[in-house]
Amino acid sequence: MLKSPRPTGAENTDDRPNAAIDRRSFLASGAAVVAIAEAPAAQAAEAIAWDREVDVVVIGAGAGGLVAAIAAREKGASVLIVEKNFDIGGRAMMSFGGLYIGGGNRLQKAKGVEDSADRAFADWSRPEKPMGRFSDRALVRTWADNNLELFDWLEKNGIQWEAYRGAPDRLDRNRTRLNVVRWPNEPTTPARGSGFVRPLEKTARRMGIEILLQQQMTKIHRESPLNGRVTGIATIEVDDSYRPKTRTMNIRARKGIIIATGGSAGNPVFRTMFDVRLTEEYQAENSEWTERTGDGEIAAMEIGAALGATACQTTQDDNLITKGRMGKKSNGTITELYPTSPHFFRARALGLVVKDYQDVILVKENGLRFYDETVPTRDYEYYAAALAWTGDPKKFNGGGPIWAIFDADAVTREEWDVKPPHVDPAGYFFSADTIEELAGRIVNEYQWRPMPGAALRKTVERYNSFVDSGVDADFKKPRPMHKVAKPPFYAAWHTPALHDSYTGIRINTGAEVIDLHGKGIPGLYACGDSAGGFGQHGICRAATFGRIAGFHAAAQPS
Amino acid sequence: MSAAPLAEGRPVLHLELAEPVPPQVPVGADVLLQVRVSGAARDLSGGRIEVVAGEEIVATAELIAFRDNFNETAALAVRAPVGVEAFSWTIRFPPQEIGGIAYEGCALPVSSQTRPHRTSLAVWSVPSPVRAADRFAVTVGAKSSGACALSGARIEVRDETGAPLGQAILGDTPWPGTDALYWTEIALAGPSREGQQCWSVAFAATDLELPHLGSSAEFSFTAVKPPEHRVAVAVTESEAAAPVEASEIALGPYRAATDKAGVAHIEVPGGVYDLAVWKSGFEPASRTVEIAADVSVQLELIRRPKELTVWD
Repeated sequence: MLKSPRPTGAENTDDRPNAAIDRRSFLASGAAVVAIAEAPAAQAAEAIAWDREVDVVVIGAGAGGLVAAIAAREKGASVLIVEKNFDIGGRAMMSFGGLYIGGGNRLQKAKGVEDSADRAFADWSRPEKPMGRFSDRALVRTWADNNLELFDWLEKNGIQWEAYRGAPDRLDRNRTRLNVVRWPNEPTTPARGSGFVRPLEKTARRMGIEILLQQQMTKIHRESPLNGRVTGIATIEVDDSYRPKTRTMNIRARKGIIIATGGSAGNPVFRTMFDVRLTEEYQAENSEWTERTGDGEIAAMEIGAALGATACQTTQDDNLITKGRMGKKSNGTITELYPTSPHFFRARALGLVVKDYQDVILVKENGLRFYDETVPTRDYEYYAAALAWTGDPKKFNGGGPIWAIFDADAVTREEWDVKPPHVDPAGYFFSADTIEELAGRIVNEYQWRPMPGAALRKTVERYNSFVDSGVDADFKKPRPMHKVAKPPFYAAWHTPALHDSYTGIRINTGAEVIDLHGKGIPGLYACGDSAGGFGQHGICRAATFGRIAGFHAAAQPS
Repeated sequence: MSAAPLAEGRPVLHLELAEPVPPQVPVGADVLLQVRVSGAARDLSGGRIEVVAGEEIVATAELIAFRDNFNETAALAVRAPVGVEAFSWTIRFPPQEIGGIAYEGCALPVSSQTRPHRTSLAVWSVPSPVRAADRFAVTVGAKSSGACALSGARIEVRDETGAPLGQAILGDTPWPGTDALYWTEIALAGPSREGQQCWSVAFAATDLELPHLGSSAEFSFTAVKPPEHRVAVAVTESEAAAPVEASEIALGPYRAATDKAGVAHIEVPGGVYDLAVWKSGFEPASRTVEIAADVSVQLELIRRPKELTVWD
């Protein structure tokens, strides 16, 4: 049985099929006005020529969408998933493959770990930690209460568990971080996330769930623009690079629509609503698999949806931003694609990982250092400096590219291979015989002016003098160890990358989408990174509310 | 863009360039010209184009590809003068018959200015610390922005006051892994004073085949007294008390890395030093030590919390 069967957190309409009527009586402006406002919209809804018709439409075939689809199908609904990529998996495919899932399950007991829903809830709503401070506690409680059932349910649907991680992780106190087993022989990526999405894909297909690939949702139809039930979605076929083709469809959803589009980190217009600094030069990690352009959020907001717990997006905690790897545009930190992957054309390179930040200096577009390079990836003062203005008269937000500058000795120490497919020479990796020449070689779509060669040379000469003196007089890097001196020299794109979306569509504990007036939008659900309210990284948040969304959507009247 | 007027009834042809000649070009550089001829209202494929410098025809090309009412040549490379000067060329469509029709000639003058190539430098293999008064060597390389061979050119090291300390001639082959970085070693006498030194390399870039601008670069190192004491630095991980291999040690200007036993040996003159230990994944550690005899120094490293170093 699903925990929290009656959603809370905001007024809900799940068991009120006549919500549109309630809405009319709610309006104080008079029945005549309402009738005028709604009549054309009702006609418009009638006028839609439906190309397909199912009970439940799921938008997005990632962790949340696959779980939601299986859950809805399990309850007897016919289900169709639309996915804009040419493969399933969403962002979860490139995930490390870990879930915060506990509550006292069999694996925890075997390990002698005591856990409960109360403990899980307490961990993830800790007020002393920014990561726990701003979450909607009703959603956190729902996650915690569903942990045990979800564990069994995921096993039943094909997930194999690897092991619990034996150390505290984010807000978890060494109890709930569980990794899945990577899908055997996954041809696209070594990331463990395949072990979550591939088994669910197999289960979904076995259950008769249809997955339409390369179909991008462009609109959610509602009975009237801001009232009534959602009725279906419009899609357009897209090519391998997500460019729209000509074929469009209208798909009717008799019972419900579940948004699982993966979040908004890849959409500069959307994300700058929360942090104006995150302009277009910052790339969303894993964009080589999935764009994460906030499609679901935007479509839901266009029909009245609110956003939830937006403070979670700006906690300056966790890795909302990461230093990332370097030498490629989409410089996610831990995951990569095989060069033989059909998706590799989007990545163009594997990127280089810096094992020791004593081996590089980091400079801005002007050739100047800006911070101690060795700080950990969660030092938000580093990002404040990286994202600071450097003088572009046409662009005041964002900090422009960050370049790692290093020499031949650093390549030897780090054992980097500085050729494709490891680096992307088309704008994201450069080499030259001298430092000044290197500055002149940097030509990149986000570099608003040529990097001044004399400035970069002075930066390097000054840094090299710090190696002799033992003191970084500018940024207090701990004992600078290596000069940048031996040719050839290299510049690698090392601009911060964007990791999670921690805000999105406002949902209640039934995963129902809530509108700007605090009321549910009948038939519309959201989960995963496209849902807001719970600032928890990873797959389990997506799976928890995906499953709830699937169950609730299937229970809706047709 | 101009065209010569022709006899009545004959088409007036126009010459133009697909891309204008830049106002400045490096000496001796190949300037790419793609010439277009319009006004004939018919295909001029096979027609001849000449580029004239002074009285001399320096390049010819054939018109191809009739499209959008013009014919054009393939891009033809014409070498800019090797001296720094203003120059002009005339692009000519000489009088000629194409497809049974006789055309009058027309011409288009173009002009530009040459500038010297730039140079830039690299200085590496600078030992530090250096024992004051001991001889040592540094490696220097110079690069021409035109990738010109710089073999045989003289390069010089100067001290903080600009006084010359040593010089050498750039060798015949570029440094491995570079396109055209011509290099040499320069032997130098150690400085007379101890402490951090900031010297420079100067490259006049004279007597080269093509004009170049000179360049300079700074490099630094530390000069020290002869060593007196042997210091063993032992690094352990705090919790496990296990030796930490390959941690980098800096004892003042002296550098070493720990061996498998977590120990590094350094010889230094007596004095008070900052001892710093660095290993990625650990918190940096440092302390002040006074060295007055052979001594062993212990330092503990604390591993950075995983949540600060992982991104999954």
